[in-house]
This record gives sequence, C-alpha cells and structure tokens, in this order.
Amino acid sequence: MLPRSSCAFHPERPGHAACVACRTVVCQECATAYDGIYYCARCLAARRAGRGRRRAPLGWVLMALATGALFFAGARLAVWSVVLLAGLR
Amino acid sequence: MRPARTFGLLDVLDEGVEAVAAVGGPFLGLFWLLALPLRLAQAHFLYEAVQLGGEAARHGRYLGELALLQGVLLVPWCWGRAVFVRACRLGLEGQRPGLAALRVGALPFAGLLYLTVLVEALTWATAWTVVALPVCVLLSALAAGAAPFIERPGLLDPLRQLLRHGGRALVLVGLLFVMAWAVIVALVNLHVLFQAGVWLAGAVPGTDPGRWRALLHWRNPRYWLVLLAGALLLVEPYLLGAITVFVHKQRSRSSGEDLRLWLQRLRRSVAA
Repeated sequence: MLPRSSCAFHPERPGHAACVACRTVVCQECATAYDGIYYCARCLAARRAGRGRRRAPLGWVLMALATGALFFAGARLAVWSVVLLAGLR
Repeated sequence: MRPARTFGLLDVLDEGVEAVAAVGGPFLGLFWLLALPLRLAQAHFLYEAVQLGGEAARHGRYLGELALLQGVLLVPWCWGRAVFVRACRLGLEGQRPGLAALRVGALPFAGLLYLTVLVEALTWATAWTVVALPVCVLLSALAAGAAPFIERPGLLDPLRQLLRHGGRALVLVGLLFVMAWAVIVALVNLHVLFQAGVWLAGAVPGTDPGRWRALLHWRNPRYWLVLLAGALLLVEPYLLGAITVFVHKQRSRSSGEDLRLWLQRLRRSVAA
C-alpha cells in the first residue's frame, strides 16, 4: 500500500498500486495485475482494445503483401549486388 | 538484474551469456538446425557469384533462383530465432523454457518475417557500401528481440517497435563490435580445428589427407565461406541472447524495476 496517497478514482480509499501505463495511483479494487504488472481499468481496457485490433484483416493483408513484395525485391537486389561486386573483381 | 537506468554493455553481455546458458542445448540445437540451411545457401550463393566473376551478369536467372532459395530458407530461420528469443525471455522472467517457448504467436512471427525480409532487402541494397552491413546485422537481431512486442498487424507497428527498442546506440554499437570480434575468433578457431582434423587424419593408415588439405585450404573460397557461415552460426545465439537482455532492460524502464524505484521515491517524498 502507498502511504498517505489515495486512489485517483476513489479519494476516500488508500492507494494500493500505480498503473504502469498512466502512472495513476489506484486502490486495490481499481488495480488489476496483468502479466505481473498493475494497470488501472482505463488502461487495461485500452490494452484489450488494442488486442482486438490484432485481428484487423487489412493489417494482415498489408503485412502479407509487403512481405511478399520485399521477398522478391530482396532476391532481385541480392542478384544485382553480387553481379555488381563480382564484376568489380 | 540491475536497475534499468544503469545498464551498460558489460551487463548486457554478461546477462546475455547467462540467458543463452539457461536456455540450454535443445533450443540451441533447434536454432542451429534451422539456421544451418540458410547459412549454407548464402555461402553457396556467394561462392557461385565469386566463381562467375565478370560472367555473373549473364547468369542472372541462375543467381536469382539461388537468391529465392535463400528467401525461402529465411522462414525456418525466422521461426528458429523467434523460438530462441522466446526461450531466452522466459529464462529472464525466471521460468523454465520448456515447450512454452515453441508457442510463438502468429503476430510476432509474421511481424518478424516482415521485418527480416525488409532488413534483408536493405542489406542487399547497401551491400556494396560494406559499412552498412553491420548496421543491417544489428537491425536484424533487434527485429528478433522486438518482434514479441508487436501489438497489431500492419506495416507501421513492427517498424515502430523496432525503432522504439533501438535506443542506447552506444551499447548497441559496442555489442556489434564485440560480436564482430567473436566472429573473427570463431573463424580462426574453426580453421585451426579443421587443420588439426586433417593433421590427425594423416596419422590414420590408409587415408589420404592430401585431398582434404587442398579442400580445406584458406585459398579455397568455398572453404572460407563455409567457415564464415559456421562462425556466424556459433556467434548468432549469443547476439540474440544479448539483444533479448537489451530489449528486456529497455522495457523494464516502463515496468518492474523503474516502477519500483519510482514508488520508493514517492513513499520517501510523502513521508518527508
């Protein structure tokens, strides 16, 4: 417990932990340990929303297209580089 | 672990070596198994280019096929790196890296693959400058360390995570310098080992070490390219271990250690 510091959402309650994301002091009820780290309800909700966005199909499609394009571009660049370097010998 | 704000190159190296030792043989073996085909393919690709010399431009299709093979072999290598980094991270968190280390999420793996092919393309695009090569090696290792923290799929978040963990440039440059020396030392040791093997083979009746001596001569480009591949294989786990520790320490500034110190200061100021 944090001595003489009170919860940002419940001023009458003593502070129990500080949210790792926004550093707000919160009481025992407001603090949630996630992965061994304390978060306030607001930041935990934001984190969960972020997890939801992981399923964003557009992001996956873009990443797959970029990976494929870079894969072929990398192969072309590799050939150009070694031809250039081998020609310098 | 020392407080995050005070860490230096030696802390990262010491704890990196400890992390690799804690991971143990099975994960090291798995990593080597998955990285070996890529390293040999790279050695073969460079050997063919060296052999072709000025004629290389006429064999673009053949070299292109070899380059594509390298690209395909990046996939198992990436997975091996993701597993190895995860095992190191579990070790740093005080857990035993068992089968849990094999469960690399789809997003970290896809993000790592995206960053790896990006850095690979950058490497080849700047290979002629030579000086950019170490930077690309560092970026590639940093991508493996930062990939577990990618939060959403897309083009920007993997890059953001890579840049976010790229602070403390002096430590990273020092790390690169040490690893470059380690590669040279490993190269010399492997060469001595092979020469000792040929010398010992000469003592066995019925064997002709002459042919092996010619093959394992430093003037044979294939031999020293394979030696270089071997040296990179030996050193890479230590680079990954050190990068994992580096990222862990960077992140602990916004989690455990840093928060504990901040709470201590808060308590002191309230008590005063």
